[in-house]
Amino acid sequence: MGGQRAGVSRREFLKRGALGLGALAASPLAKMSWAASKDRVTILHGIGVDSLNPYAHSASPTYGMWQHMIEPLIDVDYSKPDYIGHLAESWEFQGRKWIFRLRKGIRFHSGDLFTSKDVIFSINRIKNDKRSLQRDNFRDVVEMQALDDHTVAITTEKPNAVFLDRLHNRFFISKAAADKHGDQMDQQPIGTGPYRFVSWQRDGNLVMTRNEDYWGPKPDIKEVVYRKVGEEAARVAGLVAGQGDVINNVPVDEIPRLERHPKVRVEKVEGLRMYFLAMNVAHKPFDNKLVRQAVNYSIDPAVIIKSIYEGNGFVLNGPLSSNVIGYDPKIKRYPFDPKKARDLLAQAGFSNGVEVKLYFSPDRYPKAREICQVIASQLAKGGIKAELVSQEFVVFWGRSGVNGGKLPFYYVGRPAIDADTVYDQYFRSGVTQRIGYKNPEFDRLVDEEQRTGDPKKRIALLQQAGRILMEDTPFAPLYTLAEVYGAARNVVWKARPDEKILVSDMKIKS
Amino acid sequence: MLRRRIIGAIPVVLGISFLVFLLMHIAPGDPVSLLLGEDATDAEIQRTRHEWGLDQPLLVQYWEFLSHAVRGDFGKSLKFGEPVTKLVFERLPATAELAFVSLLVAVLISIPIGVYSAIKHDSLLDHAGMGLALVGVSLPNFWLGIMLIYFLGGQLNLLPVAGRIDYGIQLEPVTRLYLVDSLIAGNFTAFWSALRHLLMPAVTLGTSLAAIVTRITRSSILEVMRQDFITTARAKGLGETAVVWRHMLRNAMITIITILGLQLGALLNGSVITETVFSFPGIGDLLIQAISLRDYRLAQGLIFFFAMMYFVVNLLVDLLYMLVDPRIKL
Repeated sequence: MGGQRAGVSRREFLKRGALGLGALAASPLAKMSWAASKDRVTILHGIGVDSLNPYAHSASPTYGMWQHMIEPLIDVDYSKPDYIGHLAESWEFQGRKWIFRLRKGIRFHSGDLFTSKDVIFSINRIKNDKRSLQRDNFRDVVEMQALDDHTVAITTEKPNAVFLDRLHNRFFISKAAADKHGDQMDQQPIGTGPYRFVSWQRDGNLVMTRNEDYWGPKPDIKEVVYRKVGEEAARVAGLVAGQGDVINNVPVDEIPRLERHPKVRVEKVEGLRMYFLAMNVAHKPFDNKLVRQAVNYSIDPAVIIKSIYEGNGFVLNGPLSSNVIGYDPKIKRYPFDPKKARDLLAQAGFSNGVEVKLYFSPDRYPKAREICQVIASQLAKGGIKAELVSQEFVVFWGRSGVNGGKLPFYYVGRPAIDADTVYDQYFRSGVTQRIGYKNPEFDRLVDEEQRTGDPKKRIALLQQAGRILMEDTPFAPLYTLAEVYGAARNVVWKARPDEKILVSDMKIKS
Repeated sequence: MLRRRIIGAIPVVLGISFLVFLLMHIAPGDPVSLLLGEDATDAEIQRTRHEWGLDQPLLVQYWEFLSHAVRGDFGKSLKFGEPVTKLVFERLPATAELAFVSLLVAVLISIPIGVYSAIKHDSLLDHAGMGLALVGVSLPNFWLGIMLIYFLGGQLNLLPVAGRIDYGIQLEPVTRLYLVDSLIAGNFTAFWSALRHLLMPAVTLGTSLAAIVTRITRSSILEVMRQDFITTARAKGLGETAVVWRHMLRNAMITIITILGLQLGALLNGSVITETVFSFPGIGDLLIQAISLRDYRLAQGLIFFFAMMYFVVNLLVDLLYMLVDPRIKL
């Protein structure tokens, strides 16, 4: 090792460093695009696709990624809200049977025709695949029959009017491709969707290209790249720098900066997730209805939305948001009245107020900590002293938490299109232990609603159930929040409320 | 006595496996409810727990884990549904590459500054260098990472904010180290892209290491330069450059290598945070996913690998001693 050599290499190092820095700056500028093009849209997304098993996931954003390639029988028209046909043209509810008539002439990416056999095959896989995380949706399916190539009859144990809710995120794959590729079928997902699979790396990119033979309207954009960028600051930086064209979960405090930016815009839509404070009636003091009502009188969600969420939320007027099937405009929330709350507590025998613990999970729900701090101060005015307990979501949601019925009082959100989702999972007895609520009349109404095919009658039953809930209040409704996306300004796109980003809905303004 | 070292490692490894298993399982949390999502009913949660063997007594589960682990089988990840070893080997090259580049960045910055500060000690440059080192060691790397993303990624658009390589670049996986594979393939676009993706994470990860090594280099050189053999070297008419690089640095190297070896462990720890911030698909990022989901098998497998890497690095450091100082024998 000669000393001189070292001297030279240092100079050389500096020279090369300077050159490198110049090149570093030059290369991205040369190919900086700033705006999305019809050739490709890149989505920087908080989560990625974990595996190519089409059913080993159960989150709405992931359904959205898959929906480019494989499609459902029905979709949701959120403007009504109601179900609309997708691969199915029409359907009928006949007692224990659901009859689906499929669209004709639809072909898979492989060229095979989409028929009843594919529907039966896919549902069977969802039900029986050990890796499937969607099995529960078809737990009551006892029989499936192909009445002809384009008609399927699905029989359930009992009449099930909410079957459509279970079905709208279930996607259909090709039986012929499965027969041909066997174990290897998942390596090359084949569906009927507007985009074909190109490539995927775990926690990297999912790439899809336009299906030129798509049966529906031809998408405007040729290629879709979903890139996993877990860190929200990195997503915002990536969008601003033009490294991505669309991002999800924009933090509310970044909205003003993005709105001012010349090249990007903010896209907002009311989300489906309804936030509420759950009160598990199996725990004291929430076994007492007066205490639960006192909680309701103490809360003013409008203040939370304004002070923490910068106005990007919508107060719930009852158990449901107005865009949910089963919403009742006649139900009004408990007014904000801390004095009334204290009176109710006194009536319940707690004239000195009550002390409770409020559980929340900051890694799951945006700004949960700040929100619960505001809630605690509101509750205090109503005579309820709440100690905040923060938990990691895997603990909060697990057996020692919400799903084990161990948390008496917690901040939670649940997305729904149909009231039944929330009523069944949270409030009907024996389904989960989340709230521990038992009311035979409520159970009866949910049972009946689940059997009733006539939508009007069904909604009336749901509304009746909603009124019981409001009276018993094993929960305190809060709000829905805006889903906030960032997008390049030339992406013409209206976000869906369900956290799915579908590139087939996008157009590029030239 | 390489063999003795390796045999001695066995009880350590066993101990680690038990500790890891115990810690993961006594930590509260439930992967099943989380994976099944919001629709899951009680019945479905019970059924899945049973199918995944999570309702077995802890000792039975540990035996199951250990008896498979000795055969190199860590089971399948709950989240990804793939064998843990496959996932680890998929990710390991990314972390190795990141750790190597960070180390390189750290050494290239710290040794010249450290040597210079020592030679010109108490000068303005020395104080500046040491001040910088203090700042470097005090910056938390998640903060530094976010700042780099904000300025170099978002504001200046100089470097990519996430990932490992640009979309659309195809590379034949040989070593799965993108820098190496792209050189093998003679694909300079790929090399450049991989390097640009590595820079911010490597600087983030390498900064505190550089700071520590700068200080150590300075103090060991200061110590060495007062020794008699340096005076002898100068007396026999050696040029100053040769004295510094051949005599001082070589002799200071033992301490520096020890610190580098020890810090490699810290580098692996740091990779957990750095990879998460940069969505860099290495084993650090995977470990965070595994732990936050209580993907027991994946976390156990990963922590086991981390422990093994510590062991191997320490062994390598000992071997390096022999190279640097022929008097040392293992």
